[in-house]
Amino acid sequence: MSKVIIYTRADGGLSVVHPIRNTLGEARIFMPADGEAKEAFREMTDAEIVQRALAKLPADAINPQIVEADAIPVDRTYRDAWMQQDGAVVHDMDKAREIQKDRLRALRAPLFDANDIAIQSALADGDSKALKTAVATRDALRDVTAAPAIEAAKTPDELKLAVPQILIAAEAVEK
Amino acid sequence: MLLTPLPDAPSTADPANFATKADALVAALPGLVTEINALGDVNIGNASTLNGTNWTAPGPIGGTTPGAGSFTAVTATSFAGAALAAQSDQETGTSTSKAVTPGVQKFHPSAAKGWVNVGVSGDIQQSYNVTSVTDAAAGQIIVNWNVDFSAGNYCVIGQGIATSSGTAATFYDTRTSTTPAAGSSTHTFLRASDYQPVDPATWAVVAFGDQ
Repeated sequence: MSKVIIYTRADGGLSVVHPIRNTLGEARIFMPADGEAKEAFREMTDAEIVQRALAKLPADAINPQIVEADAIPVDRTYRDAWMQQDGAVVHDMDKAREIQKDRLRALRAPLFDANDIAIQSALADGDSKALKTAVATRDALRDVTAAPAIEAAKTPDELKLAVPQILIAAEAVEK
Repeated sequence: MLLTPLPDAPSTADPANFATKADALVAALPGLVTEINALGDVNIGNASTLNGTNWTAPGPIGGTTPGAGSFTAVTATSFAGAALAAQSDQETGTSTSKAVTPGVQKFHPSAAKGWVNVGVSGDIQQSYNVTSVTDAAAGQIIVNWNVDFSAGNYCVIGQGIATSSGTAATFYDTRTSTTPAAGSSTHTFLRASDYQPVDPATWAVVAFGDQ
């Protein structure tokens, strides 16, 4: 289907409705005008399929619009930051930044755990050098969400690259 | 098979040949009986519509018991009448004597009322009784049914299959809305490590219930 329906929800999120032509058991339209009542059915057109989906949108759907399917971003990294603007789907960069921060938090969580153990070991061993290194690592992990590159990013592609060096290895594992 | 024509009938208008023609006609009757019996069962040809309540099979020629005969070469293309299961018969699901046609099979409680296999970007693989699939958020879809269910407490099962990034080595959890709406059901695919919604590669959803 080359068309999709987009609308904004009451919670501010964007929904993308993909109209479906069922592969099995799809309804057909009766055509009484052609004089062949017994077999006078035809397939639904793409436009009718879209209208059928449009008719079943939630009552609180805000500003529903029919747009070309290729207007929907392929990259879903910041899916929850999508927003409707002039018949197109664009990114709310503020929301995208928060999603990026959540990504970084998820990446650093296991590193935090491992570093906590390193700190406890250094304290138990009285190893001041190891403790200093572990504390520095802890601080660096704590500050990953404050990386200037996050605020500086103007596009989703730039934002995806805003990963502090300390998390690069963890991100590679995630991918 | 055509029957052998009988001899000319005798007539009082032709008294000179009456006796001869009468003898010939009477003499031909045993042969006629033989030919009729050789026909065997009656072939009624093709019937385009049979209504089970209106037909009585004829008996053998010369017999006295209607209904004892048999049909041959009967080809029916459609049926109608009380012998066929209606939607209510299917929903009750107890009859063992009514025939089920394709149009009402779906009403039986054991039949899936709708199902879909769809990619995260709405690319349909297979589907039945679905109007649309809504991409509501990361890791969340809403399946919108074409023919709605009669109430919200039907049984719907959703499954996310693998992940869009290919990292399927971690356990994932699929959640379905506690009480699906009559016209739709919502499904969320969660990463077990932090229970954050993530996109699967494919969704598979099937629903059972009353419509």
